[in-house]
Amino acid sequence: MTEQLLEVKDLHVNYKVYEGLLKVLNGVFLRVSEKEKVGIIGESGCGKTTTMKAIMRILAANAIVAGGTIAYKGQDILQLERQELMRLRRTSMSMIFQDPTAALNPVFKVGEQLEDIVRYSESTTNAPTKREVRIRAVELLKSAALPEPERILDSYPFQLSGGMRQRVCIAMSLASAKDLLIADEPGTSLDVTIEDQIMRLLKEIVEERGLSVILISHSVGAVKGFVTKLYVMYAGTMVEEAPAEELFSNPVHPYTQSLLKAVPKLTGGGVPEGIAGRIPSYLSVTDGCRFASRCRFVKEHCHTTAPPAFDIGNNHRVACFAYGGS
Amino acid sequence: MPVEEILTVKGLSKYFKTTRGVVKAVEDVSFSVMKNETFGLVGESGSGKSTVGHVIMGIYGPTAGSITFMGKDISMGVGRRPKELKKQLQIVFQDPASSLNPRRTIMQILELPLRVHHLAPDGNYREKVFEIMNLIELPREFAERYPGEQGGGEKQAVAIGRALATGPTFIVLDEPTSALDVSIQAKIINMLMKFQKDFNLSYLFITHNLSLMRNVAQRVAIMYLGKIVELADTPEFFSNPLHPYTKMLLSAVPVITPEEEALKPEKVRSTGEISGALNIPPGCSFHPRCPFVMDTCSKVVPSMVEYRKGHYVACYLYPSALNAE
Repeated sequence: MTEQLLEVKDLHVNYKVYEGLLKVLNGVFLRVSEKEKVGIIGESGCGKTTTMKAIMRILAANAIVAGGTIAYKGQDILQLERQELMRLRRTSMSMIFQDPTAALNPVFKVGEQLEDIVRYSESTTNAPTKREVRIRAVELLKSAALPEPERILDSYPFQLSGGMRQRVCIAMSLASAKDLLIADEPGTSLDVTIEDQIMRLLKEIVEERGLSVILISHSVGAVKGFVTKLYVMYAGTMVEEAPAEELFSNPVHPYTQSLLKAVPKLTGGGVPEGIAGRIPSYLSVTDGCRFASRCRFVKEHCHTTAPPAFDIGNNHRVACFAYGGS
Repeated sequence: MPVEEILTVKGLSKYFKTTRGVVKAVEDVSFSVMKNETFGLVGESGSGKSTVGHVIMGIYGPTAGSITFMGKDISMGVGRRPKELKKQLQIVFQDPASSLNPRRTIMQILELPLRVHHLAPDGNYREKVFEIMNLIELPREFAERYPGEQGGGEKQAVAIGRALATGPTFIVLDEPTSALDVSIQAKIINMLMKFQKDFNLSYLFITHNLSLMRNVAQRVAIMYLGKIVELADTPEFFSNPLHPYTKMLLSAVPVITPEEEALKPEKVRSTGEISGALNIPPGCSFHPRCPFVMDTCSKVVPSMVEYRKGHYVACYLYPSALNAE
């Protein structure tokens, strides 16, 4: 049995906006063991990125963590002092963002940005020399399979292609991700052949270095073949958790079922059906199940009580009254 | 069913002059779209697929080649096209957030094409707009709202409604669902398929999503750096891909079911990146990324051959036409 690295319990995050309070995350849970590859799928606006930002503690200023704990190596990240938090980000966990163009500063050379991170991620007691930093930066670029690392260090981000920029971002995250790497839609903004290359590279790297990974995606196909455990998010709630194979062969939550069905298949068979209705407004969510208004199997109490996650065996958990409760 | 060509593109090229040189966005592209057909155009970003759609719409005139629509030559920019023609040809863009004016209400947006073409003889444009909104399944009370207040799917429905307003026969769909989530995408696609049947529409469907293409198009053409490299009927295209680039693309498609996995061609690993359209490699433009590259590939552009009936490919691996089985 491997050890637990990260455990998110009953996380609630709200955003304060002009119109009122957006109740986004509602009781989110997540567990990542050491060297485990975990995926989170869900559609835009379902709170995937907010959850990750809460873990990294980089939420926007108008976000309020209204409850829950994020245990990382036994400490609650939400309670950490700034010093401790910085140490974690420097030496233990890191994040790759969706859009590499926005993640890199356009007015600094790749080298300056990468070397800064290298310097920051090394221990503060024995500061590395300029040459050591440079060597380390080159090593990082090489491990992200970038050709001519020296030339890339001297380039500005706009001189690189989208795929190369994302490799640079991967290299940056590797400087400090010694335990946990969070990849937020790393291939979404890229072409399909480039995405394929990036995902292969990422998989190689995390397996070689023995990192734990949380891979976020709205594309169901992209996470398949990468992760061993999958979470499905809908409107700020975790609706299903299962081993990857199990989730694809036996999805049980009505939302997961509809979502998997809505993906067009390469084998043809016509255009699938969508899901009627839309995600409820976070301004006016009820206490009930957030999928209730779009659910085909909705019962009366679904509208008033939120279902907890029921264990249905095989490490499979689902938040739906069809599988437990009375 | 008699097959009748509605749109024919022959030897179409479109170059753009920039300060850094000439960008050959589209080079010698030929295909035709049949009546009531959905013709798919696939390619990665920078392959020129959208430019083809834009030239057909007349957003800019072609550098060379001809476009024939219902027997008439339309190889000119939109300024020189007759108004009647503009009614027949419509386009839906990728991102409804930028193709709809944020300062116009949905009523105003849908009214404009009707007014331009005088499509309500009694002057009752509002009633006409409500008819369109009914078609795209938007409730009447949305008419006075702005696009920004709508979800992505609803916005795209408005863009489709705007295209339908003039009663077109041919619509260019330029990645109509790539900005949308899958559950919404499915709804929009079903809507488009229904309209095609109801109004006898022909579509040029541009997308980079091969799984989607499999389910909507009757024929598929694949573009790489401004040229079509393979063209075939959809079932043949997916069960018997020929061009190495097609195989590479198909191997890279993320899939869910084992049946889909089985359909993939022997794995051609994705390598390299599409080069910029400013310096297209000589010969076959795919040769720097091709695992089967030969000497000739870097020298002479391979010409399109009909390898099987209706299955065209431009690659030296398939040298002579129609001699396979």
